[in-house]
Amino acid sequence: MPDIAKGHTVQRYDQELSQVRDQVLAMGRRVVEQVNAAAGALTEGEIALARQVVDRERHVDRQEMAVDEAIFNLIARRQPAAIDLRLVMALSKCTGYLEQAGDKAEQIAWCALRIKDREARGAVPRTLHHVRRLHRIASRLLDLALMALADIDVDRALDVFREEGELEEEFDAAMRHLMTFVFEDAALLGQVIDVVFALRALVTIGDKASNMAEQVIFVAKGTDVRYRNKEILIATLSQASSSSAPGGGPE
Amino acid sequence: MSAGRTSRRGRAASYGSGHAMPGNHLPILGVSDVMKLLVQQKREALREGLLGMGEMVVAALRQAIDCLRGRNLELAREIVINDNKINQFRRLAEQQALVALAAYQPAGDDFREIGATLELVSELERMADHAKDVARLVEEMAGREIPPAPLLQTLDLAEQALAMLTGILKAYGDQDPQQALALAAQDDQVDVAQRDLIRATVALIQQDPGYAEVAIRLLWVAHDFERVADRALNIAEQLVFITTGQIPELE
Repeated sequence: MPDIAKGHTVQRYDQELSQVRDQVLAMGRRVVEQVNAAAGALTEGEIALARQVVDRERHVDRQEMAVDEAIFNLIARRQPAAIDLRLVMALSKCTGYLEQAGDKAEQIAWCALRIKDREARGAVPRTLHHVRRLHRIASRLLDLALMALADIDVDRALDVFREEGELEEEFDAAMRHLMTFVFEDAALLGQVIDVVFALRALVTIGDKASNMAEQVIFVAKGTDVRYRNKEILIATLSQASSSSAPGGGPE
Repeated sequence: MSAGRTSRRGRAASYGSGHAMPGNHLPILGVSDVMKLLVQQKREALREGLLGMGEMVVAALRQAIDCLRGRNLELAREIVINDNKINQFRRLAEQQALVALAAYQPAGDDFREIGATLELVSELERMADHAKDVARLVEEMAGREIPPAPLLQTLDLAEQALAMLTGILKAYGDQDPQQALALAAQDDQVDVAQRDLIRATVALIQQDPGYAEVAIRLLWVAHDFERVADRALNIAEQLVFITTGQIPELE
């Protein structure tokens, strides 16, 4: 009798945990939409789209608070075992990272609105291809991170670490190029500054994806990897990930 | 955990010391009374921990301002090194809050504050990251002339943000949401100061493009402090939420 009851309780708890995870992934999808819309608004000069991103940011914040409350309730009522507690905490942190990414998307939308506000749009299209390139990288990292989180997929998480170097490289290249515009025509400076802020925001979004990937590793391997050297980590885990199953046992 | 704070407010030292008077009754505490007292103690301990971490972060931000004002590269190094201590502290506080949630199963405002502690130690850590970012930017500006007017504007903005944070942390310690809300209103001033700085910087670079690289870094310093002010706002919001159960609309 106690076994059956216990089994039922554990099952319900797993269901609750899955629900929370699904809530986080839903929030993730919304943030991805925001990032894509904001970057698109910037590169295509779509005012209405930019305004929409700004308006929707509140909902992302609300989602974060809702998920956090659900998670804390879970911890307070359920007393999770070691692996579940790691997953629960990882989910909580990922909502924080997603909220920050959403915040950055809003900032990009503001850049779009400010740029559109100005008169001389002539040279801006020449700078916008940097935004497109950086957006493509950041967006992909975000997608990979969410895929990794969905299944606690270590390989996907490692993909994020492999590809995140492109972010800074592209940003540095963009900065060098943009500086030449400043010297060429000082009247473009205001726009250049807005583009720089948008590019920085995209890099930060990529960083948040990386942070989420770190959480996935944390859950799978039970080690806190937030303050380690990533190259060594990739090398070690690439060998190990095929031989060990994620979520194996308490630490 | 309490990082050197010596003042503990309010709590009487003796709960039912259980002196048996000859022939008289013993003071009786029910199990739930004991639990409530334990939760209260835990909650206050977490609050002190949070405020202790707050002091460390305020110190780091103060160092960042001094570092910029004095172009002090040694101080910059110190900020980066001390950041690790803050991260460690955050992890410790996090564990304590999690244990409190799982062990005491708090409800109502106890639940909200313990949950908020988890969120706020992350916010504080991110603020310390901004201090570290400012240190990095000062290092990047080494050896270059910084135009005095935008520098003063940046320092001014930074002082405003730090004052806001210090005040809101005090309000949190006093568990006084009104105090916090009054300070939260200063966030607008910081935003205005940032916009003014951007305009001034644009004008400056247009006059003398040689300043471009330094000026853009000053803008990023200002951005870091504007983010600090924003995060201080979050602390105020959480305080209102803890004490009233309502989520305030502060932006």
